[in-house]
Amino acid sequence: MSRAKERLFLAPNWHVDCRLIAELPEDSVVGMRFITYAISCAIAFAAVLFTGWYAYADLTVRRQIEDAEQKIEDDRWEVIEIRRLQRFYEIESKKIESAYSEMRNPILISSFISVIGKTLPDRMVVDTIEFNEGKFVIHGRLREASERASLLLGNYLDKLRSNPDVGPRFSSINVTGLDRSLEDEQMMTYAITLHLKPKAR
Amino acid sequence: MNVADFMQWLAIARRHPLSALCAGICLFCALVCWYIYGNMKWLDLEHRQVMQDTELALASLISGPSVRQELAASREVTRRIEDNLVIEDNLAENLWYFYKIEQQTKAHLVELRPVNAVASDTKAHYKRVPFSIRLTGTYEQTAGFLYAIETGPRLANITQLTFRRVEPDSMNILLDIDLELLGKK
Repeated sequence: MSRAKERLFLAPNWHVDCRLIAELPEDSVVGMRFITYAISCAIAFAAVLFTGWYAYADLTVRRQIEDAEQKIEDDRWEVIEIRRLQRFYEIESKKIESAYSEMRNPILISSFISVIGKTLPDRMVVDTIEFNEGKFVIHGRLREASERASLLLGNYLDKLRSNPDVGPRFSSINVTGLDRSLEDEQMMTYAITLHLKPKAR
Repeated sequence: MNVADFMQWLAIARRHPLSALCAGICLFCALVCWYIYGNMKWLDLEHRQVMQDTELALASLISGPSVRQELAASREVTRRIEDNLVIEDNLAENLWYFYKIEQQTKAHLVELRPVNAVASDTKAHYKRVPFSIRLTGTYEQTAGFLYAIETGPRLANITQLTFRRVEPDSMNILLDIDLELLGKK
Protein backbone atom coordinates (compact mmCIF):
# COMPACT_ATOMS: atom_id res chain seq x y z
CA MET A 1 0.00 0.00 0.00
CA SER A 2 1.17 3.50 -0.80
CA ARG A 3 2.41 5.96 1.73
CA ALA A 4 -0.55 8.37 1.02
CA LYS A 5 -3.05 5.66 2.01
CA GLU A 6 -1.17 4.93 5.22
CA ARG A 7 -1.37 8.59 6.09
CA LEU A 8 -5.16 8.37 5.98
CA PHE A 9 -5.14 5.85 8.83
CA LEU A 10 -2.67 7.80 10.91
CA ALA A 11 -4.48 11.13 10.56
CA PRO A 12 -7.08 11.93 13.19
CA ASN A 13 -10.44 11.10 11.64
CA TRP A 14 -13.64 12.90 12.51
CA HIS A 15 -15.81 10.01 11.45
CA VAL A 16 -15.53 6.25 10.92
CA ASP A 17 -13.64 5.23 7.72
CA CYS A 18 -15.84 2.69 5.94
CA ARG A 19 -13.89 2.52 2.67
CA LEU A 20 -12.97 -0.90 1.18
CA ILE A 21 -9.35 -0.14 0.40
CA ALA A 22 -8.86 -3.20 -1.84
CA GLU A 23 -11.80 -2.18 -4.06
CA LEU A 24 -10.65 1.39 -4.56
CA PRO A 25 -9.25 2.32 -8.04
CA GLU A 26 -5.51 2.55 -8.46
CA ASP A 27 -4.28 6.04 -7.58
CA SER A 28 -0.50 5.67 -8.40
CA VAL A 29 1.05 8.30 -10.72
CA VAL A 30 2.08 5.67 -13.35
CA GLY A 31 -0.50 2.95 -13.35
CA MET A 32 -0.04 -0.73 -14.11
CA ARG A 33 -2.39 -0.46 -17.08
CA PHE A 34 -0.29 2.28 -18.61
CA ILE A 35 2.92 0.29 -18.14
CA THR A 36 1.29 -2.80 -19.70
CA TYR A 37 0.06 -0.75 -22.66
CA ALA A 38 3.43 0.95 -23.10
CA ILE A 39 5.32 -2.37 -23.12
CA SER A 40 2.74 -3.99 -25.44
CA CYS A 41 2.89 -1.06 -27.84
CA ALA A 42 6.71 -1.07 -27.79
CA ILE A 43 6.84 -4.79 -28.55
CA ALA A 44 4.23 -4.45 -31.31
CA PHE A 45 6.07 -1.49 -32.79
CA ALA A 46 9.35 -3.43 -32.74
CA ALA A 47 7.61 -6.40 -34.37
CA VAL A 48 6.17 -4.18 -37.09
CA LEU A 49 9.57 -2.57 -37.68
CA PHE A 50 11.33 -5.93 -37.87
CA THR A 51 8.69 -7.35 -40.21
CA GLY A 52 8.95 -4.26 -42.39
CA TRP A 53 12.72 -4.55 -42.57
CA TYR A 54 12.49 -8.27 -43.35
CA ALA A 55 9.91 -7.64 -46.08
CA TYR A 56 12.13 -4.89 -47.48
CA ALA A 57 15.11 -7.29 -47.57
CA ASP A 58 12.93 -9.86 -49.35
CA LEU A 59 11.79 -7.32 -51.93
CA THR A 60 15.37 -6.12 -52.45
CA VAL A 61 16.57 -9.65 -53.17
CA ARG A 62 13.66 -10.19 -55.57
CA ARG A 63 14.46 -6.94 -57.36
CA GLN A 64 18.15 -7.87 -57.59
CA ILE A 65 17.23 -11.24 -59.10
CA GLU A 66 14.90 -9.57 -61.60
CA ASP A 67 17.55 -7.00 -62.56
CA ALA A 68 20.22 -9.68 -62.96
CA GLU A 69 17.90 -11.84 -65.06
CA GLN A 70 17.02 -8.85 -67.21
CA LYS A 71 20.72 -8.08 -67.70
CA ILE A 72 21.48 -11.69 -68.60
CA GLU A 73 18.62 -11.63 -71.10
CA ASP A 74 19.83 -8.34 -72.59
CA ASP A 75 23.40 -9.64 -73.06
CA ARG A 76 22.36 -13.15 -74.04
CA TRP A 77 23.13 -12.96 -77.76
CA GLU A 78 26.42 -11.19 -77.29
CA VAL A 79 27.55 -13.80 -74.73
CA ILE A 80 26.50 -16.61 -77.09
CA GLU A 81 28.51 -14.95 -79.87
CA ILE A 82 31.61 -14.59 -77.65
CA ARG A 83 31.37 -18.22 -76.54
CA ARG A 84 31.11 -19.27 -80.18
CA LEU A 85 34.26 -17.23 -80.95
CA GLN A 86 36.00 -18.85 -77.98
CA ARG A 87 35.26 -22.29 -79.44
CA PHE A 88 36.68 -21.20 -82.80
CA TYR A 89 39.74 -19.86 -81.00
CA GLU A 90 40.23 -23.22 -79.26
CA ILE A 91 40.08 -25.01 -82.63
CA GLU A 92 42.59 -22.59 -84.17
CA SER A 93 44.99 -22.86 -81.23
CA LYS A 94 44.81 -26.64 -81.37
CA LYS A 95 45.92 -26.45 -85.01
CA ILE A 96 48.84 -24.18 -84.09
CA GLU A 97 49.81 -26.45 -81.19
CA SER A 98 49.65 -29.44 -83.51
CA ALA A 99 51.93 -27.71 -86.05
CA TYR A 100 54.30 -26.73 -83.25
CA SER A 101 54.45 -30.25 -81.81
CA GLU A 102 55.10 -31.71 -85.28
CA MET A 103 57.79 -29.20 -86.22
CA ARG A 104 59.31 -28.08 -82.94
CA ASN A 105 62.92 -27.13 -83.49
CA PRO A 106 64.92 -27.03 -80.30
CA ILE A 107 67.44 -24.65 -81.82
CA LEU A 108 68.02 -22.66 -85.00
CA ILE A 109 70.90 -24.73 -86.37
CA SER A 110 72.10 -22.09 -88.84
CA SER A 111 72.35 -19.61 -85.99
CA PHE A 112 74.27 -22.12 -83.87
CA ILE A 113 76.75 -22.77 -86.71
CA SER A 114 77.17 -19.02 -87.11
CA VAL A 115 77.95 -18.62 -83.38
CA ILE A 116 80.51 -21.42 -83.61
CA GLY A 117 82.13 -19.66 -86.58
CA LYS A 118 82.29 -16.33 -84.76
CA THR A 119 83.61 -17.62 -81.44
CA LEU A 120 86.17 -20.13 -82.73
CA PRO A 121 89.76 -19.28 -81.67
CA ASP A 122 92.23 -18.54 -84.47
CA ARG A 123 94.23 -21.73 -84.04
CA MET A 124 91.18 -23.99 -84.18
CA VAL A 125 89.53 -25.34 -87.34
CA VAL A 126 86.14 -27.06 -87.61
CA ASP A 127 85.96 -29.98 -90.04
CA THR A 128 82.48 -31.35 -89.40
CA ILE A 129 79.40 -30.46 -87.45
CA GLU A 130 76.91 -33.27 -86.96
CA PHE A 131 73.44 -32.98 -85.53
CA ASN A 132 71.23 -35.90 -84.65
CA GLU A 133 68.61 -36.55 -81.97
CA GLY A 134 69.30 -33.47 -79.90
CA LYS A 135 73.06 -33.85 -79.98
CA PHE A 136 75.72 -31.83 -81.80
CA VAL A 137 79.18 -33.26 -82.36
CA ILE A 138 81.87 -30.90 -83.64
CA HIS A 139 85.04 -32.42 -85.05
CA GLY A 140 88.08 -30.30 -85.87
CA ARG A 141 91.78 -29.72 -85.60
CA LEU A 142 94.07 -27.33 -83.77
CA ARG A 143 97.72 -26.62 -84.17
CA GLU A 144 99.03 -26.65 -80.61
CA ALA A 145 101.03 -28.84 -78.27
CA SER A 146 98.82 -31.26 -76.33
CA GLU A 147 98.94 -29.31 -73.03
CA ARG A 148 98.15 -25.99 -74.63
CA ALA A 149 95.54 -27.66 -76.82
CA SER A 150 93.65 -28.96 -73.82
CA LEU A 151 93.91 -25.53 -72.14
CA LEU A 152 92.69 -23.81 -75.30
CA LEU A 153 89.77 -26.24 -75.63
CA GLY A 154 88.84 -25.77 -71.97
CA ASN A 155 88.78 -22.00 -72.39
CA TYR A 156 86.74 -22.33 -75.56
CA LEU A 157 84.16 -24.53 -73.85
CA ASP A 158 83.87 -21.98 -71.02
CA LYS A 159 83.31 -19.32 -73.65
CA LEU A 160 80.58 -21.43 -75.29
CA ARG A 161 78.89 -22.14 -71.95
CA SER A 162 78.81 -18.46 -71.08
CA ASN A 163 77.52 -17.45 -74.52
CA PRO A 164 73.87 -16.39 -74.09
CA ASP A 165 72.88 -17.93 -77.45
CA VAL A 166 74.49 -21.29 -76.77
CA GLY A 167 74.99 -21.98 -73.04
CA PRO A 168 71.37 -21.88 -71.85
CA ARG A 169 70.18 -24.19 -74.64
CA PHE A 170 72.46 -27.12 -73.82
CA SER A 171 72.44 -29.42 -70.84
CA SER A 172 76.07 -30.37 -71.35
CA ILE A 173 79.02 -29.13 -73.44
CA ASN A 174 82.03 -31.41 -73.17
CA VAL A 175 85.21 -32.40 -74.96
CA THR A 176 84.77 -36.03 -76.01
CA GLY A 177 88.02 -36.48 -77.88
CA LEU A 178 91.49 -34.94 -78.05
CA ASP A 179 94.12 -36.91 -79.99
CA ARG A 180 97.29 -36.28 -81.88
CA SER A 181 96.71 -36.27 -85.64
CA LEU A 182 98.06 -39.29 -87.48
CA GLU A 183 99.09 -37.21 -90.50
CA ASP A 184 100.71 -34.28 -88.70
CA GLU A 185 102.57 -34.51 -85.36
CA GLN A 186 101.98 -30.82 -84.63
CA MET A 187 98.26 -31.12 -85.11
CA MET A 188 95.66 -32.23 -82.55
CA THR A 189 92.19 -33.45 -83.45
CA TYR A 190 89.31 -32.76 -81.11
CA ALA A 191 85.63 -33.61 -80.68
CA ILE A 192 83.16 -31.50 -78.75
CA THR A 193 79.73 -32.92 -77.87
CA LEU A 194 76.81 -30.69 -76.98
CA HIS A 195 73.53 -32.13 -75.69
CA LEU A 196 70.43 -30.00 -76.16
CA LYS A 197 68.13 -29.50 -73.22
CA PRO A 198 64.91 -31.48 -73.69
CA LYS A 199 62.20 -29.03 -74.68
CA ALA A 200 58.98 -29.04 -72.69
CA ARG A 201 55.97 -30.10 -74.81
CA MET B 1 -6.90 -25.15 -22.73
CA ASN B 2 -10.44 -25.52 -21.58
CA VAL B 3 -13.41 -23.14 -21.83
CA ALA B 4 -12.72 -21.60 -18.44
CA ASP B 5 -9.16 -20.70 -19.46
CA PHE B 6 -10.44 -19.27 -22.72
CA MET B 7 -13.01 -17.17 -20.88
CA GLN B 8 -10.29 -15.95 -18.54
CA TRP B 9 -8.12 -14.90 -21.51
CA LEU B 10 -11.13 -13.22 -23.08
CA ALA B 11 -11.72 -11.30 -19.87
CA ILE B 12 -8.08 -10.20 -19.78
CA ALA B 13 -8.36 -9.08 -23.43
CA ARG B 14 -11.48 -7.08 -22.60
CA ARG B 15 -9.74 -5.50 -19.67
CA HIS B 16 -6.62 -4.63 -21.74
CA PRO B 17 -7.90 -4.07 -25.32
CA LEU B 18 -4.78 -2.21 -26.51
CA SER B 19 -2.49 -4.99 -25.24
CA ALA B 20 -4.73 -7.52 -27.00
CA LEU B 21 -4.46 -5.53 -30.23
CA CYS B 22 -0.67 -5.37 -29.85
CA ALA B 23 -0.55 -9.12 -29.28
CA GLY B 24 -2.59 -9.60 -32.45
CA ILE B 25 -0.22 -7.38 -34.39
CA CYS B 26 2.78 -9.33 -33.04
CA LEU B 27 1.14 -12.60 -34.05
CA PHE B 28 0.44 -11.27 -37.54
CA CYS B 29 4.04 -10.02 -37.83
CA ALA B 30 5.35 -13.42 -36.73
CA LEU B 31 3.25 -15.12 -39.42
CA VAL B 32 4.50 -12.71 -42.09
CA CYS B 33 8.13 -13.22 -40.93
CA TRP B 34 7.70 -16.97 -41.01
CA TYR B 35 6.34 -16.78 -44.55
CA ILE B 36 9.20 -14.49 -45.68
CA TYR B 37 11.76 -16.73 -43.97
CA GLY B 38 10.43 -19.71 -45.94
CA ASN B 39 10.69 -17.72 -49.17
CA MET B 40 14.10 -16.30 -48.36
CA LYS B 41 15.74 -19.74 -48.40
CA TRP B 42 14.74 -20.27 -52.02
CA LEU B 43 15.37 -16.69 -52.96
CA ASP B 44 18.85 -16.89 -51.53
CA LEU B 45 19.65 -19.96 -53.62
CA GLU B 46 18.18 -18.38 -56.74
CA HIS B 47 20.03 -15.14 -56.03
CA ARG B 48 23.36 -16.98 -55.75
CA GLN B 49 22.72 -18.86 -58.98
CA VAL B 50 21.71 -15.74 -60.87
CA MET B 51 24.74 -13.83 -59.55
CA GLN B 52 27.02 -16.66 -60.69
CA ASP B 53 25.44 -16.57 -64.15
CA THR B 54 25.80 -12.78 -64.25
CA GLU B 55 29.49 -12.99 -63.31
CA LEU B 56 30.09 -15.60 -66.01
CA ALA B 57 28.28 -13.49 -68.59
CA LEU B 58 30.19 -10.41 -67.46
CA ALA B 59 33.51 -12.26 -67.71
CA SER B 60 32.58 -13.34 -71.23
CA LEU B 61 31.63 -9.78 -72.17
CA ILE B 62 34.88 -8.37 -70.74
CA SER B 63 36.96 -10.97 -72.58
CA GLY B 64 35.02 -10.32 -75.81
CA PRO B 65 37.41 -7.82 -77.45
CA SER B 66 40.52 -9.82 -76.55
CA VAL B 67 38.89 -13.06 -77.79
CA ARG B 68 38.17 -11.34 -81.10
CA GLN B 69 41.76 -10.08 -81.35
CA GLU B 70 43.28 -13.42 -80.41
CA LEU B 71 41.00 -15.27 -82.80
CA ALA B 72 42.00 -12.92 -85.63
CA ALA B 73 45.69 -13.41 -84.77
CA SER B 74 45.40 -17.20 -84.52
CA ARG B 75 43.41 -17.33 -87.78
CA GLU B 76 46.18 -15.34 -89.45
CA VAL B 77 48.80 -17.79 -88.11
CA THR B 78 46.85 -20.88 -89.19
CA ARG B 79 46.18 -19.28 -92.58
CA ARG B 80 49.92 -18.77 -93.04
CA ILE B 81 50.63 -22.34 -91.90
CA GLU B 82 47.97 -23.87 -94.12
CA ASP B 83 48.88 -21.79 -97.17
CA ASN B 84 52.38 -23.25 -96.96
CA LEU B 85 51.53 -26.86 -96.25
CA VAL B 86 53.25 -29.45 -98.38
CA ILE B 87 51.13 -31.90 -100.36
CA GLU B 88 53.05 -35.15 -100.37
CA ASP B 89 51.93 -36.18 -103.85
CA ASN B 90 52.71 -32.83 -105.42
CA LEU B 91 56.39 -33.65 -105.96
CA ALA B 92 57.13 -30.98 -108.55
CA GLU B 93 56.02 -28.15 -106.32
CA ASN B 94 57.79 -29.63 -103.32
CA LEU B 95 61.08 -29.85 -105.17
CA TRP B 96 60.57 -26.39 -106.69
CA TYR B 97 60.59 -24.98 -103.14
CA PHE B 98 64.14 -26.25 -102.58
CA TYR B 99 65.34 -25.26 -106.04
CA LYS B 100 64.05 -21.75 -105.45
CA ILE B 101 66.15 -21.54 -102.28
CA GLU B 102 69.09 -22.97 -104.20
CA GLN B 103 68.75 -20.14 -106.72
CA GLN B 104 68.58 -17.53 -104.00
CA THR B 105 71.56 -18.81 -102.00
CA LYS B 106 73.69 -19.95 -104.97
CA ALA B 107 74.36 -23.25 -103.21
CA HIS B 108 74.49 -26.33 -105.43
CA LEU B 109 71.96 -29.09 -104.80
CA VAL B 110 73.66 -32.39 -105.45
CA GLU B 111 70.86 -34.61 -104.32
CA LEU B 112 67.26 -33.99 -103.41
CA ARG B 113 64.81 -36.78 -102.82
CA PRO B 114 61.61 -37.25 -100.94
CA VAL B 115 61.57 -40.00 -98.35
CA ASN B 116 58.58 -42.13 -97.46
CA ALA B 117 56.43 -40.40 -94.87
CA VAL B 118 56.10 -42.05 -91.49
CA ALA B 119 52.51 -42.54 -90.31
CA SER B 120 51.78 -39.79 -87.82
CA ASP B 121 49.37 -39.55 -84.93
CA THR B 122 45.77 -39.92 -86.10
CA LYS B 123 44.71 -36.97 -83.91
CA ALA B 124 47.28 -34.64 -85.46
CA HIS B 125 45.99 -32.01 -87.86
CA TYR B 126 49.05 -32.23 -90.11
CA LYS B 127 51.55 -34.78 -91.33
CA ARG B 128 55.32 -34.72 -91.68
CA VAL B 129 56.73 -35.05 -95.18
CA PRO B 130 60.44 -36.01 -95.07
CA PHE B 131 63.16 -35.08 -97.56
CA SER B 132 66.82 -35.86 -97.88
CA ILE B 133 69.10 -33.15 -99.29
CA ARG B 134 72.77 -32.94 -100.16
CA LEU B 135 74.31 -29.70 -101.31
CA THR B 136 77.68 -28.10 -101.75
CA GLY B 137 78.94 -24.55 -101.75
CA THR B 138 80.91 -22.06 -99.75
CA TYR B 139 80.17 -21.54 -96.07
CA GLU B 140 77.98 -18.51 -96.87
CA GLN B 141 76.02 -20.41 -99.53
CA THR B 142 75.38 -23.56 -97.51
CA ALA B 143 74.67 -21.67 -94.28
CA GLY B 144 72.34 -19.40 -96.26
CA PHE B 145 70.51 -22.43 -97.64
CA LEU B 146 70.17 -23.89 -94.15
CA TYR B 147 68.92 -20.57 -92.78
CA ALA B 148 66.37 -20.25 -95.60
CA ILE B 149 65.07 -23.75 -94.90
CA GLU B 150 64.76 -23.08 -91.18
CA THR B 151 63.10 -19.69 -91.45
CA GLY B 152 61.22 -20.14 -94.73
CA PRO B 153 57.45 -20.03 -95.12
CA ARG B 154 57.17 -23.83 -94.99
CA LEU B 155 57.61 -25.14 -91.48
CA ALA B 156 60.59 -27.47 -91.36
CA ASN B 157 62.13 -29.71 -88.75
CA ILE B 158 65.72 -30.81 -89.27
CA THR B 159 66.12 -34.32 -87.96
CA GLN B 160 69.72 -34.92 -88.99
CA LEU B 161 72.49 -32.76 -90.37
CA THR B 162 76.13 -33.10 -91.31
CA PHE B 163 78.10 -30.00 -92.17
CA ARG B 164 81.65 -30.84 -93.34
CA ARG B 165 84.46 -29.72 -95.58
CA VAL B 166 84.62 -31.46 -98.96
CA GLU B 167 88.37 -31.94 -98.41
CA PRO B 168 90.39 -31.21 -95.25
CA ASP B 169 91.67 -27.79 -96.28
CA SER B 170 88.99 -26.95 -98.83
CA MET B 171 86.70 -23.89 -98.46
CA ASN B 172 83.84 -25.85 -99.97
CA ILE B 173 81.29 -27.34 -97.66
CA LEU B 174 79.20 -30.45 -98.11
CA LEU B 175 75.89 -30.30 -96.30
CA ASP B 176 73.66 -33.34 -95.77
CA ILE B 177 70.26 -32.63 -94.31
CA ASP B 178 67.38 -34.90 -93.41
CA LEU B 179 64.35 -32.78 -92.77
CA GLU B 180 60.59 -32.89 -92.50
CA LEU B 181 58.20 -30.30 -93.89
CA LEU B 182 54.76 -29.81 -92.44
CA GLY B 183 52.26 -31.33 -94.82
CA LYS B 184 48.55 -31.58 -95.45
CA LYS B 185 46.96 -34.68 -94.01
